[in-house]
Amino acid sequence: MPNETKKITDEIRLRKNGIFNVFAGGKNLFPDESGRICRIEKALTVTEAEFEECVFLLCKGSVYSYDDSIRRGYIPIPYGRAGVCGNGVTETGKMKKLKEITSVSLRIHRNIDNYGRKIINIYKQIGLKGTLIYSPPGMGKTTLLRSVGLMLARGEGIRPYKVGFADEREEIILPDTNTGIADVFSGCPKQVAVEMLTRTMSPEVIVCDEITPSDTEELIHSTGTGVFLICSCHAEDKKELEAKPHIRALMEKGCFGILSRVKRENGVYGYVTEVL
Amino acid sequence: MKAVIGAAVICICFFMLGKKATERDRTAVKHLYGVLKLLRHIKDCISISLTPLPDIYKTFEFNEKYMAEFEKKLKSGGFAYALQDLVLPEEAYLPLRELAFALGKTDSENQCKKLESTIGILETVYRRFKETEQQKSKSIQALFSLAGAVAAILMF
Repeated sequence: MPNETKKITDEIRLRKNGIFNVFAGGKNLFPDESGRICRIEKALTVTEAEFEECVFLLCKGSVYSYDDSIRRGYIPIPYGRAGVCGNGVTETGKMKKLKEITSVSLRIHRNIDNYGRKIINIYKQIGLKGTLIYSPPGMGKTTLLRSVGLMLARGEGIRPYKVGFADEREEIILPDTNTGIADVFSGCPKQVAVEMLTRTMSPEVIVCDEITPSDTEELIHSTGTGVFLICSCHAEDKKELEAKPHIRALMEKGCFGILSRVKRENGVYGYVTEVL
Repeated sequence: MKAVIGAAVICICFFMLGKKATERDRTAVKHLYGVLKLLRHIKDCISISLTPLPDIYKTFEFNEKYMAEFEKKLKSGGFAYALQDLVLPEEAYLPLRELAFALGKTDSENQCKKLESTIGILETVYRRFKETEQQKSKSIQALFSLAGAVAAILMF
């Protein structure tokens, strides 16, 4: 693939006996066998053997040891996350396992130094506040979340805080970003991680990605103990954000004092911040 | 005196030849026993703690000296690689090759099922092969000893 495309690639998708494609610069691109971007009809396809080899390698040669995360739709990998989907088996309405994986989406995470500077400057002016970062998927919420969390932990432009990361899918903290300055609870559901961090690590700030209705109770509880939350969730705009019952509940309980909408124009990351 | 010593040497040589002739089968029984021990351990590790294969290989240790080379290869290159140099009964190769191909490629439920069925097949092979090997080995050794005795009588 051309180097320029590689640099701006956010996602690589493989489908068993299906099309191979990359998502770069906000576009879905289809490389051919020589790596040149082409029309979908001439796009590279992934054979069953190639696909299975890919899953095998992502799981470091032991697919069964990732049963739990595969059931939740991903395989944690350094510098990213491999989302998976396929034929699910359910039991009493709950996902029991993925019988067959048919698609893999490799998300490439980036670390942008000082990306959270604007938010840190606001903290400096008005004091630390719970912060909710939102945007549609793939805009860079996790990148901003990581940056703000680590800047607070390292005390960059502000006094150093005790920061705990509830990193369920092991994608907030990248291998070369955790310099031993933050406490990371990874690989378990967010509500469990938030509860454990609050009870055992006495953090001043808890960072967690993509909050869901099941996390609400624990997040409200931790705010009640004096912990500041820095969270992210999917929403196109503030109206859509406030339409989500769990977010509304968190806002009514005063969990968030700052809203930050992440956007990406022509491949350039940015965000607008609003103090409530 | 010389004749007695000569006859004894011939008898011992034939006896040793008999032993040598059955050595491959004896090694196959031992190796299969070792492989079965490893497979049972892998199955326990997967069903109890979902331990990844490289970690299982790293921590597993054979007490048997004859498995030392296999253990070394297992730690450095994995199960399929280690399997290459083992001497095994013919019927054991196919299920083991199939297992080596499937190992680590499925979820824990299917992995344990595959291991269970392979262990089941190999246990049957082991029992049958051990019995035949003992009988065969006794007959061959008796035959060689007899041949040695006849040769000694004829020569001296």
